[in-house]
Amino acid sequence: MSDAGADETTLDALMARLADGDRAAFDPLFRALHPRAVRMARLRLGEADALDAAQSALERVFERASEFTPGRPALPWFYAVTANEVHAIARRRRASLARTEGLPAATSTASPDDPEQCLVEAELRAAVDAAVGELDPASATAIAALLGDAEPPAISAVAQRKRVSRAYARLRQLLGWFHEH
Amino acid sequence: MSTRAEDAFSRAHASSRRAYERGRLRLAAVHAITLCLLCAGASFVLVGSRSLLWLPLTLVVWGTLEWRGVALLRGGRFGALAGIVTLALPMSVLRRCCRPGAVELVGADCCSMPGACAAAGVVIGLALACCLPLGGKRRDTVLGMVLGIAAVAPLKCSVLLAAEAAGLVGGLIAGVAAASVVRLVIGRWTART
Repeated sequence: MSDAGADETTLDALMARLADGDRAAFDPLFRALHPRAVRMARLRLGEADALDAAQSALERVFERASEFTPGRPALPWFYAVTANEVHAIARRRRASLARTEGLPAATSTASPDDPEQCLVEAELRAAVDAAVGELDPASATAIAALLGDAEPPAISAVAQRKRVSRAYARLRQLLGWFHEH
Repeated sequence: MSTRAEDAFSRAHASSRRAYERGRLRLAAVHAITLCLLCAGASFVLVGSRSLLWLPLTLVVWGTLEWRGVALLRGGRFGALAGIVTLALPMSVLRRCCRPGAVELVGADCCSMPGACAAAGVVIGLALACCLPLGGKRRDTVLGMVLGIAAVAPLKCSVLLAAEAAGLVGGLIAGVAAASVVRLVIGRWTART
């Protein structure tokens, strides 16, 4: 598990090699991504289901690895696919629980001061920042204003809404979610 | 790491690997079918409907190249290009006696010209292999190019006699092999000096 802390540049290179068909990149990439997937699943689903959900999310990531575009950052793509899979599992579990017990299930079990949650949130934030960095300046400003990181631009509210909507669509595309929705 | 976590890691590793191969096979099938459709169109127009009988070979060989990827696929792309060039070769190059009026002059039997086919194959093979980026995995790249030729060139062979077909494909492979050996020798010689 020595590759768990592999930096983003290494992950990008490994993912590009795997997309090209280089099987030698599989093992180090898996060792780097498995703990990240487990942490993310643990945050959303709790300890009991985290390992199974991480396995399912990783299957989805590696099944689509050949579609990854070399030169793009790998982590935002990985988190988008994993988050989508974990979210789908959580939704299925909630529905199943509601059917059997007639109760709404908890959406998150992690404590806000949990160091794992901080780590996942930091990486998610970095992934979003990387995707925002690829937007055009106007769209990037619109998203930054939405997140409270910048002053809203001096345009009408309608124009700002349209700009945010366009920026959001582009951001979803960059994060690879448009295939899923 | 606890035993449960280790088990989960091994299970996830094996299933992710299977999922990766599944994903590659799916993508390879899509790409191979696309290439087959393009080749079918080109060979139908340039060669004739008999050539379509060879399409399953194109599908299987190109699917394998796409699935394995890396150097094999890079070489395969050059090989497929060589194959497509052979599709466009006019019969007057492969069978010089088939020029208008020639058959009537010397009889239909002279039209089997494996030598001309082999020469055309060698020229195309040499030209493409000289441009081939060998990279780190030279053997795989050259093997990929040979397989790429084997995937597309047989479409042309459907209108040639067996000896001519063997001459054309053999010439292509000989051209690729000769150019690759020369490049390897030059590469090693320049590395030493």
